[in-house]
Amino acid sequence: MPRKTRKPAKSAWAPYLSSSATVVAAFLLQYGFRPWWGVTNWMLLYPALFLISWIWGFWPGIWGNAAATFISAFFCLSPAHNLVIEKAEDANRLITFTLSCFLISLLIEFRRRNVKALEKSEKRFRVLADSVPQLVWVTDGKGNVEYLNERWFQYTGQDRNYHRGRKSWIDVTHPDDRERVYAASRLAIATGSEFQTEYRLLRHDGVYRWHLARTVFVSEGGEVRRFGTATDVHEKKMAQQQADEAVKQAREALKSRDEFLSIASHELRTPITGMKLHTQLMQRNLTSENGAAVSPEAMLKFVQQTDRGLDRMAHLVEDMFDISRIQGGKLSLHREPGNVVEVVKETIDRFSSQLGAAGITTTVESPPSVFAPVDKFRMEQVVTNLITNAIRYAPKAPVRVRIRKEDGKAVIVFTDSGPGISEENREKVFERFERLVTPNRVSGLGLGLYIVREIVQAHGGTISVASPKKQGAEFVIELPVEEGAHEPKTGLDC
Amino acid sequence: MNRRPVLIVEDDEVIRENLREILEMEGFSVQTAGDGKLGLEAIKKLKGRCVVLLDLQMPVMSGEELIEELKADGDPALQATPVIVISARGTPWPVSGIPFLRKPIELEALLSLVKQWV
Repeated sequence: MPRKTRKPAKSAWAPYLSSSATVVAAFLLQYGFRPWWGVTNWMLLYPALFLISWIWGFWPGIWGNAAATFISAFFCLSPAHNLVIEKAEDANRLITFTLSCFLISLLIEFRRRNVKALEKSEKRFRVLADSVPQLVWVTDGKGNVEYLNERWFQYTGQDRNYHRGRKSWIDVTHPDDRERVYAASRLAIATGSEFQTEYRLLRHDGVYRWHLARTVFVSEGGEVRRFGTATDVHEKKMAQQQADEAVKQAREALKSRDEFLSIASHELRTPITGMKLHTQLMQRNLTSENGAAVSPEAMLKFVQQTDRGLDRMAHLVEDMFDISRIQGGKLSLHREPGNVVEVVKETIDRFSSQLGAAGITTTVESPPSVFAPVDKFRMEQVVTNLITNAIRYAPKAPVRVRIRKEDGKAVIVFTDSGPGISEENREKVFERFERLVTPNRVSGLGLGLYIVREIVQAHGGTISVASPKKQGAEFVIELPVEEGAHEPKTGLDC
Repeated sequence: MNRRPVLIVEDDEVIRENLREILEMEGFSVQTAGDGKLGLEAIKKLKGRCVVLLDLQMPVMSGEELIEELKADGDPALQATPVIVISARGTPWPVSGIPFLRKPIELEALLSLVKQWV
């Protein structure tokens, strides 16, 4: 500790010693020029004292000034070797010299203080600019970089030496945002207003993150500067986007639920209308003597139609039940090894009369058996829904079913010759309540393919649809052959 | 007796054929059409001399569109074609002057309406 305290005390004297030495050296040098300059010319002392003030500061300068005055009075002005000055002229000269040197020291001191204050202010700005979590920059009016804070370099990973006088911020602005940022910036310059915009900035690891940038324009002596900050708002922006998306989905879900209710009520009312007509007619026949006579044949036909109407309603209700089961995660499968080919063929046979009425011929290409662990009842439902789909959307055209075993999977390819499904709708057809045609065109609840996909997925399988020849829909179902090879979707009780 | 025929414009085959049978049994002469476009053609063929039982939700041309077409037609006979709307739609029927029967249809109400026009 004592060493430390002594050290600055020692060095505090050094400027005064250096000052004295410089003054003496200047006098000695000047003494050499005496034959030409005489003894009262102190030309070399001015620069010497200037240097002393510049290098060692104000007080060493004053000290040097005093020393020079003393030496001049003592040695150079007659009578020599004392401090008495005879001539008024010499006294004036000495006073002028001393005052001039004092002024020089004073001016240099003022300048030094100004520079110090500026340095202090600049340092404060930098400390402040580096301490905030934002990216901070200063550019000229054209956007050429003058200053970037430490966070900028940490964030972008850009080279510190590259920036000055360049528009280096463009390199890290997302290409899709550049035009927008330029436009906003141009508008702000034209109107002289602040400019605030959101855009993506490239981080050093190649990730673009959303930032909110604010720039103010400051006019300094006719020159315009832009002071800007960018705040990372990525999380907020993402959260906002997610929230917007969620709201959109919720709205769509509500809309499709409303549509579903409207479709369902229409679909249920159609068979009810038929049945109601039959019962009213029979009632009329039984109660009114003047009523139209219904033959037993006609009566039988009405009863049969009523029965079919009931089937139709039962099917719709069953579909609605399945939806509720799927949503509640209660679609239960009773899987046991079964011949997929048999299931498909039996189901198609059951629909032969309806297929015939719709003008659809079916061909099944398969080996005699392809075994897979399936819930037979649910697989029948899958085939039924695909057939119903073909009857509705692709009548009067052949349907081709191919079944094979491939890579440990049972593959069922169901191809109709209908209008096909465009690329953007291929995922959509498996959504709930989706019908790609307007409700006026085709009846049905729009649940068939959704139920198909849920059943296939519950089996650990996949279903996709394509329109390979731009016509006709080709549904490809892949089911795992090994039990447990593909874990079924969670939430389903298998 | 030169009675107007009843034209049933309905896309659901079961309902269409049932109505036909019932109305025929009641002694009406009946024609049918499976969608709005076919229905409009039939009305034009009959020059509006028929009673139209009209469903709303149909392929190709809906019931509303058919009514619009009739209204816009230059022939006053077509404009005056009597129409009875039969629909499963829950909302109230907005067109005044056109009777609306909600499915499932009350047979008595239908028959009395048809008899008025025929």
